[in-house]
Amino acid sequence: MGLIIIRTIIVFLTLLIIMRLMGKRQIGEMQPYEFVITLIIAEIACIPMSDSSIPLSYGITAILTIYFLHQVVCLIDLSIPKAKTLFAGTPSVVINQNGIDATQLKKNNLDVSDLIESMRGAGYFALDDVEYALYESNGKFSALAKAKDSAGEKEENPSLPVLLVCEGKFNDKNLRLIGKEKGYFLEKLRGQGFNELKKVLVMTVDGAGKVYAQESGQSYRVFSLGWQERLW
Amino acid sequence: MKIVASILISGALLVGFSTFELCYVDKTFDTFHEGLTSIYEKTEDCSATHEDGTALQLFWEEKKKVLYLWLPHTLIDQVDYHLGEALGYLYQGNFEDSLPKFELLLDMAETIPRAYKILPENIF
Repeated sequence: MGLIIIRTIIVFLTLLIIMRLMGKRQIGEMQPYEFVITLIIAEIACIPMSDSSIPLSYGITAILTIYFLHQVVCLIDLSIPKAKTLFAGTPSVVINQNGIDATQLKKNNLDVSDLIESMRGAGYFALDDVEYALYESNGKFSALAKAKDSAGEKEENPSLPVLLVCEGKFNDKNLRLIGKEKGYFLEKLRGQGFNELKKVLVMTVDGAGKVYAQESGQSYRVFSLGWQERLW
Repeated sequence: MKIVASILISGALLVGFSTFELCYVDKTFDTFHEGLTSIYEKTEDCSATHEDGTALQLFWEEKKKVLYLWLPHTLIDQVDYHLGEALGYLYQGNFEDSLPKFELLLDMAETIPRAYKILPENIF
């Protein structure tokens, strides 16, 4: 029984560390330690239940140890704010006033396409639709929408922006969708002062030719490609 | 307050039960080992009786009911199996064949409780 308690504590702590290292994309909508408990508890409850040669006390001990650890983590969470950061992590601001924060994305093992997907899930289809966006410590995505213009009206017939450049590489599928050559966009980027493609963290373009582009570590820029008609 | 109480209660239960288990398993197998040693020595002298065997069997039958709570049932079944064989030979007066069985049981009575002690080799 003592062995089971020690082994359960070791497995719990190992899983917790691994979950924290994996970043927010693995968690779902739980705190890391809650996710670890969910992972373990189903398994330890099942084994003694289905194998009659294993005493039920093994499962009960492990479950009671998990409960004990959960309560200890909760108590530490409530009483020591710094420990909460250690167990649950902190929210990561991935979009700020300068645009995308690539360092925060990397820290959470995410890339720009994951961010765009999260934004679509939250109802924002363009990167410049939001003032701030963050991944909460439980992995949930939150965003603060940009204030509306003085008229308080939204753009008429908005067009869906597509990801054209992600971390210095063209997305060939979307390039084919737009029907223009890489050289065309490289020229347009150079015209805006983006001289090296590999430094471009993100570039999206919508059907009206509105571009959102950002170099790593720089502020984002929004400009128009001057298309006469909408492509989609 | 509620959370502290739950930690104290669950912690006390865990520590209490694990200490009881360790002591119970240790004590049971110590006594079992003593009984086995005694019957082994008598078997060596060819003086072991039916009563000696029955006493050891009764002791084991009584203790194993509680051991089922803590030990894997297959382990208890193994002791059952070897004890049955050893006593079978003994009841027939076949001392020579029962000796290796008792030796095996003596070894099991030492290794089983050691496998439940909190030692690094058992944890990892």
